[in-house]
Amino acid sequence: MASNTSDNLLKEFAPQLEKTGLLGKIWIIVLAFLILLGIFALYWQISRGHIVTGMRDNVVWGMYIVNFIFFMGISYAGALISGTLHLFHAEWRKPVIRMAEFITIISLLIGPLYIMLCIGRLDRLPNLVLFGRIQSPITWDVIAISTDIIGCFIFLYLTILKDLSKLRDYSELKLPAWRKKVYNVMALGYTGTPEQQLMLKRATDIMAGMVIAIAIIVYSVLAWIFSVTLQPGWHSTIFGPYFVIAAVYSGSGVLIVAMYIFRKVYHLEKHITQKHFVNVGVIMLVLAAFFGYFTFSEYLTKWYGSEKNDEILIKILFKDYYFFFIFSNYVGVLLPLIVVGFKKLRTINNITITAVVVIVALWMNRYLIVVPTLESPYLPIQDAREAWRHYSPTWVEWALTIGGIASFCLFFTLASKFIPIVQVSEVAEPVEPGDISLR
Amino acid sequence: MKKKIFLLTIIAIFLLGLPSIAQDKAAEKGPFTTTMAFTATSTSDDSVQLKAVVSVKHEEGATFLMNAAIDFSYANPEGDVSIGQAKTGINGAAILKVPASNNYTRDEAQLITFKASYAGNDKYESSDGEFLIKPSKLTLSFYEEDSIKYVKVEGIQYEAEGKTSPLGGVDVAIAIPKMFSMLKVGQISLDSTGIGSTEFPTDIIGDSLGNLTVVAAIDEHEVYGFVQANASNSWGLHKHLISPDRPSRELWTPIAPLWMIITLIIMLAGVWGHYVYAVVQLVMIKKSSERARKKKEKDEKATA
Repeated sequence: MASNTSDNLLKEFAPQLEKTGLLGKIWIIVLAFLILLGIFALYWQISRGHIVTGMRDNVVWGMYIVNFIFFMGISYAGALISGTLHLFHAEWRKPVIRMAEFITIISLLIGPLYIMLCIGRLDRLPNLVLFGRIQSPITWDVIAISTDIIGCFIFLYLTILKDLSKLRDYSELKLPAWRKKVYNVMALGYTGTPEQQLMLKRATDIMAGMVIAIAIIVYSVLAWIFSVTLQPGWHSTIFGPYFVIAAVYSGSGVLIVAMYIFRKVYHLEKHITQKHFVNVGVIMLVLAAFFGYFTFSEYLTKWYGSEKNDEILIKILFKDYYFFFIFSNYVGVLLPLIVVGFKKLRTINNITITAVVVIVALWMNRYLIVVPTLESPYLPIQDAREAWRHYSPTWVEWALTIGGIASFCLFFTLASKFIPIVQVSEVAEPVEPGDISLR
Repeated sequence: MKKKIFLLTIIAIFLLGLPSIAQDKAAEKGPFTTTMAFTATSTSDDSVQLKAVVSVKHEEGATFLMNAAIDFSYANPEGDVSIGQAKTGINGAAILKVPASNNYTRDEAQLITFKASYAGNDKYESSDGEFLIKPSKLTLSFYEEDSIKYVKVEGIQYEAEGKTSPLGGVDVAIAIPKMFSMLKVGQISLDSTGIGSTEFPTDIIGDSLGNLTVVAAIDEHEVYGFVQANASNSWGLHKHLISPDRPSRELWTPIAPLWMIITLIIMLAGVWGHYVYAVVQLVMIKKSSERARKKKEKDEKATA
């Protein structure tokens, strides 16, 4: 029965895997063009040096670090959401969990690239490994991110193994021989015997727990890079949990947008229903409340403490970055509470638009954490041109940002062409893996 | 449709709201005004260091001008006499050293008028400066008497025709160079023989061996201009990276603190242990499928 259902589902998803329509090709070409634009900007930056960016001696971090934090954030969110839903056997998760897993892996591959763009002397990069000091938060980050990437790859592989075996066994798929061979090799001969199911369940459960723990640790480490630094606005004890909440919050927004797009493009209305949007929307609502609480707590204590440099920073945030501050910390928090909080407003379109706002707001939040602080350091900026005291991104940074987003979209599209975007084996299986007794 | 317009509006606001005017805006038009800061310093190696720093004024501030050719000369009733040329470096400074004992033309007060000029070009306007100085020299030495440490300064001034005489009646500052500025530790008034001394403090932190660089300087004197000399002693306190008086964070030591190493090992062992377990399960799945395949082949052969 299950096999038949899987076959039916594979038949339903076959067009996505077998061919790419005209619109799909145009989409891929546009993304490839944007990536090429980014590559050209990278060439421009390497050939002319970092002077082509808006970063200077004082404001040494800009959009690259903002993008790095943003992409790493949504990757951890994917890991946390997919891991948690898997562990709690939430039945509704099945059609959307793979998207969360793809978000995790793809953003984990793109995010760290922005660190490379930020480094002026890439030839010195091996020194980080050769002479890395454990005391340095940068070393913690390198260890944590590489551990996370490997863990998330193992988890993704475990969760797609069943589908790979289905794809290997489904003879009606019109795919090139090489792809069938790849499915055959990657499926590891999995046939779904009780013994294999048990081994797979053990491994998946363990890794689901691991990716949750790793995601929390890794994003906390990223937060600690800031919070262990004596800079106004950064030296905060709540930065670890604040970053983790903000990461999951932005990731839930990206998941909703991905659900909306794939539902429309691949006609998944039958599998991804309003219930899924509302459920992920409720997760987003809870996270919005937590995010708002952390944000308020962070700024209130700084404002009340009246420490000179904190006061200067808050003044800058409300003056020079007024729009960013209001959008990220008010609109970005209140909109999900209103839209998802009121039943009448909980439509698919409303929740998706809210998710877009949340994504933009959280990107701005990262910008507000990184840039204004560097513009108002404890050591006063002296003997520098006025323009160098402030950061503003150049076309090179914009091009590389757009290139990164395009890469994310392209990898997502290609991944959905390789493996069904919905977990075929899970959706087809009426029995939860949790029902298999652990002997 | 309304929602699409709403979405586009948000994106437009977002893009317009960004402060995307950047440093890469169109280049400002010249010619730019340049300014020159010109000084002459008598140094302890019997020379006068001529230093001209050229800056360019922009709308947003000033920057140093690099690779600018600076002509140095001294004033003469029959016209300025060229001494030499030097180019400005990354900090906008062009430096030329000339002997302190020289035959350059002096005025009635025995002062030499040094001049520096930048000719300018299409992009940058010209600028120049002059500095009057009577060449002199300070010599620093240290001695200890009754367990008290002293710093001694001797000063001479160069007269015309290469003669020297004591540099008396001037105040000399004693300082220790810090990272960004000088730490003044004393002042000496030179007597009529050009000699003076003062007690040297014993609570200055030196390097790990207690070495200190000490500077004696006369700043912007109306006759002698800038005069500078330096020497080293080992009277400083030995600098230790970790003070034994306070709890140490040990972040600068070659090896990380023990608690950090233990925490890292436990965390990595825990995480990677689970990874290995998951990979072992995958290997076992592969092996079990091979076993099943072989059994199937065996059964088929037996049936055949």
